[in-house]
Amino acid sequence: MLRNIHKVFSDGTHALRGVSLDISPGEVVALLGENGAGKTTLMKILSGVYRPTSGEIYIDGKPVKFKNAREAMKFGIAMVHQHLSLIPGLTALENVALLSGGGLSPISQELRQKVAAIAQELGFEVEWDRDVEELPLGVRQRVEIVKALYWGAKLLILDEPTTVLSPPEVKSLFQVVKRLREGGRAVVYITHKIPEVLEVADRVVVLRRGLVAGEFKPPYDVDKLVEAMVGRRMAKGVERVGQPGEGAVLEVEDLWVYEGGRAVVQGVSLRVREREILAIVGVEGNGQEQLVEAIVGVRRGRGVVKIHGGYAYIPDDRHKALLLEMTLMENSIVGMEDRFAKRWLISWRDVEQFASKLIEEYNIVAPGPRAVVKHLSGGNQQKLVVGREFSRNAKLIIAHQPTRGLDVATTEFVHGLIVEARNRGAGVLLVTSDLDEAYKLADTIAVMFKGKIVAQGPVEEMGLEYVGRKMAGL
Amino acid sequence: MRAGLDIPLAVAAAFVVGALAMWASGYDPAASYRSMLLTPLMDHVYLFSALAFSAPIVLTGLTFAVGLRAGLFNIGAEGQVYMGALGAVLAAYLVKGWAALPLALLAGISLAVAWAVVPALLKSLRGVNEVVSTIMMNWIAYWLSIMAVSTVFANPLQPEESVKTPPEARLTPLVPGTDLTLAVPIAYAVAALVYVFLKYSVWGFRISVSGQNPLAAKSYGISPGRAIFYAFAVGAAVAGLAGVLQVVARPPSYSLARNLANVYGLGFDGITAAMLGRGHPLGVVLAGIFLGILQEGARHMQIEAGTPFEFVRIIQGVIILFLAVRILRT
Amino acid sequence: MTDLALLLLYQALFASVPILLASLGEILTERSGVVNIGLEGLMLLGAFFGPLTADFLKYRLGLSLPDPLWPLVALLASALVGAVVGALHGYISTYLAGDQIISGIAINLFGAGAVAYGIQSYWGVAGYKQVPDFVKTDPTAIAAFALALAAFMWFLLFKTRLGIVIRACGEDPEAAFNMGVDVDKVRLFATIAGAVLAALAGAYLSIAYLSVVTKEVSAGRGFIALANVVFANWNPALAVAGAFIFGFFDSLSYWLQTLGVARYELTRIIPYVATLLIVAGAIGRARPPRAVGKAFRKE
Repeated sequence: MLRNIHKVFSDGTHALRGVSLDISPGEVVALLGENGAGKTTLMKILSGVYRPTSGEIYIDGKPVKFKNAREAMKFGIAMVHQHLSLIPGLTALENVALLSGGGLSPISQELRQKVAAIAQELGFEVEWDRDVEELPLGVRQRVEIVKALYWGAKLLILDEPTTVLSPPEVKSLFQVVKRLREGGRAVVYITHKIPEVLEVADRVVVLRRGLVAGEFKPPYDVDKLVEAMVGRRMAKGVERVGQPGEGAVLEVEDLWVYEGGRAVVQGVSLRVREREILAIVGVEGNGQEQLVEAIVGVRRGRGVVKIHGGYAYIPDDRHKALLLEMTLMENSIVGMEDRFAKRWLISWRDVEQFASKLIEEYNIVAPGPRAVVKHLSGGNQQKLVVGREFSRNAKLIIAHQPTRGLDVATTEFVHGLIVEARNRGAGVLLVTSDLDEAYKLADTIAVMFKGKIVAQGPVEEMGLEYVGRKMAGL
Repeated sequence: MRAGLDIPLAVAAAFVVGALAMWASGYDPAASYRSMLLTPLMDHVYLFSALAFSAPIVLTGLTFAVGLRAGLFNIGAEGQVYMGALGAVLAAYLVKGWAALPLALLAGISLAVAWAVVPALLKSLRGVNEVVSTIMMNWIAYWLSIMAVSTVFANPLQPEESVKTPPEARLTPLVPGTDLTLAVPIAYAVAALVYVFLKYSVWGFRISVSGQNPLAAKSYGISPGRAIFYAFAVGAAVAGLAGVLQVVARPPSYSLARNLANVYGLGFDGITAAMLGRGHPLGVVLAGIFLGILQEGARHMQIEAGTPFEFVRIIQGVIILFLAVRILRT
Repeated sequence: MTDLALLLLYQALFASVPILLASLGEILTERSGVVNIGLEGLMLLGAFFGPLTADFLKYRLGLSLPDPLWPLVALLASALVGAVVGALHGYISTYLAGDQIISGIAINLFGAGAVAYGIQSYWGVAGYKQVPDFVKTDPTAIAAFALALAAFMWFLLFKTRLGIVIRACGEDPEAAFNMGVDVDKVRLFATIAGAVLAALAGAYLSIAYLSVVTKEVSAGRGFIALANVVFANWNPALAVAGAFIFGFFDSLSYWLQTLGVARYELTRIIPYVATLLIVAGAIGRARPPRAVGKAFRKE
């Protein structure tokens, strides 16, 4: 049982604003919500990886505090993470055995047998002596489940377990969950995909922006679930003026990107025109990051990418765009340093002026242009990135989760900038998992699922429900 | 700022450790330190000699410092210095007039830069750690230089040396009777140039960006591979210059010693200077002067207090050890 | 002719011992997540302090021990020096989260200076001292130890639970920490062990192989050992092969010189060129421990 949990991260994000949750043995609770709603954070607190900023955890009525995941495991709580936390370079069996501590003895036969037995009970088989790096993600997930059960887990938390599974593997996962419930264990199933919830959950708790937005029991009404997840659509804001032009600022043809042998971007083609905002929506992890990186040139891809007229890039993580040890003014000209050079030498006075203007225009709270960026708060760092990128006056703006973690006022401000730039003729490629944002800003919406564009069309023709289903792969 | 306190603390700590080492091996720390630190300051001849020692150290310090900016640990200055010196000797061998000087500069610097190409390529193309590759190159340069000086470039009149620089090509002392040649102002001027390069030039900026965050660099059109190359090239050129100057501007011999004594260890002294100067070219100059004083002083210390002059390297090692901790604290 | 070839191989084996010992130590250290480039300095310190301690105890303190014990004293002394320096580097790399490369450079500088200074101040000669006979020993025993150690280390890393813990620290310290492993402590001990082995490699050089202590006695072997770690893909078994190859080139250069085939200096560069080529070729397929060289910070 979790009560009134708050979590504020070291960079200032208030991820959880007072969440309470009860879990009983033998029940499957689905924790539903969009990305960034706080589901993973909440469960990481429960499983001991994070510590809550405030709030308490009770087990069987007694308050407990966990210093790390191992302590939580002593109480029978284990979490299978979305980005699996198995240690590469070790075999599957070794990963399970790690918890038994050091010692010069080899892994005992007993452990090996017990592990095999658990796997059998759940209905699957694993190659225990292979390096986990070589195992497909679906198998790795099973190893994590077995590991948790071997060490006595009574409450198993599964974080977005199907992101890495193929449809037949998803089916067997549901079987496993059912068997766990039959075995008297409790399961918390974190997801943003509604169909899964319909399959397995005894109870659904919806989180939105760090708060509980609703609790539901079967039979489930999909529309009500969606409403609780997504909230009401935001009203006006800045108006889009004019129609998209004819010329393209970005052309991507048949782009393929490979990672670890798998194709994470599969034959994507898209076009962003002048005065157009193309929003690519989709759950994080469906290839968007790799798509953006390939377009920008950080990752190699196969296919054609043509950019006309320069580009501005707002990455999803400001650490990818900033040099924390350098000053604000130095950061402000990255990628534009030659514009400030007169006869081979950079005029730092000009740069300082430029940076001061940025500070003013974009409302960056900082002591001055010579402030070291790592001392700025997260939100102000993001404003710096946004300010810099918009000052490039590039024809193409690539924005990847540009308002993630920002407060409402700043979010509005950034949205305004994006639309203004668009109105002045720029093309914007907006990659986001925030549907509110997408619907508010976009001329065209495309849905990305498992590396492919599965739907695309003008915003008026792409209904919220249709898009939601496409995002889930239906 | 706390950062400013690191250096004096590290140096002081090193001197304390040094004193303990001296006392343990039966030498007199007080007398030794007096000779090492005060004697050079007492006579202008000694002081100029200290400055003369500082010149190549400043240059090799710049080599390491530029590498650090780019996120590299370029320990190849030692070998690049040898190559520079070799180029100067080659010029002395080929040409017998004032033309030997420009030729020496050209040959020395080119050889040194060429010497850096191998580690640079290995790093960009194969990801080979530059620490290992540059050290290997250093040793290869060491043996090749010894061989060259013993055979082709040997001086028939004085077999422990190479061919001497032609008198018209030498950079002779500015103040008669001392060691202070043009090498010293040249070295400091180069430091200023490197400072300007790193702070004001476009590629200097790109090197800094690339060294701190290669991902961000790539995202905004800066090629980290090219930055690494430039950093290696600039570093090697400066080290090569140091080598040339040690042959062309070092009275009384104006040649390369057969056992490489007048170029040996300069690369590593440069690392100390770069660390003390916190990677900043002007800091490197100050650190170089400090180390020059130590070097000059160590010679006096050996004569006056009997303490072996290798002691300087112990001090250097301990200084850097203390700095290794501070580096990440700020 | 085969006698000659056998002799060459035999010599290659003895030449490979210092590199093997230092490589094994570094493999352990890097597998736990710490990189120690100060192997060269450690070798020098081991080469020097071994004979020095024996000499000091016998002649300055007048200690009397049965003859066979003196080499052991030397080995013990150098191991101790290695442990102290290793503890320093380990502490800096873990609990103090300092820069591991810089610390390694410092050890190299310090080692070079200390040995040069020490030879001069203790024995009064400049840079070169024959090791006194009573400390010298036959290389065979140490060579056998090195090979046995390789086998043991392979077993330790890949077949025991402690090995799992060590490797976890080097691959994913956060996950390991969450599983209850005291990452800093494991890394510290691995670093100390690695440094001890590097120092022993140095002692081998001075008391068993070359019989001299010079200020350059290691001649870059510390860095060759680093290259060997990469070549061996952090696997103790392959490290034996790699060390042997380097040992081969090392002996080859002496052979060529003795046979008068090539000039002395040219033969001396053979091992270094070989190292470069091998490292350039090997690095493509080598896979280092994921978290090596990065300090571990708990969130």
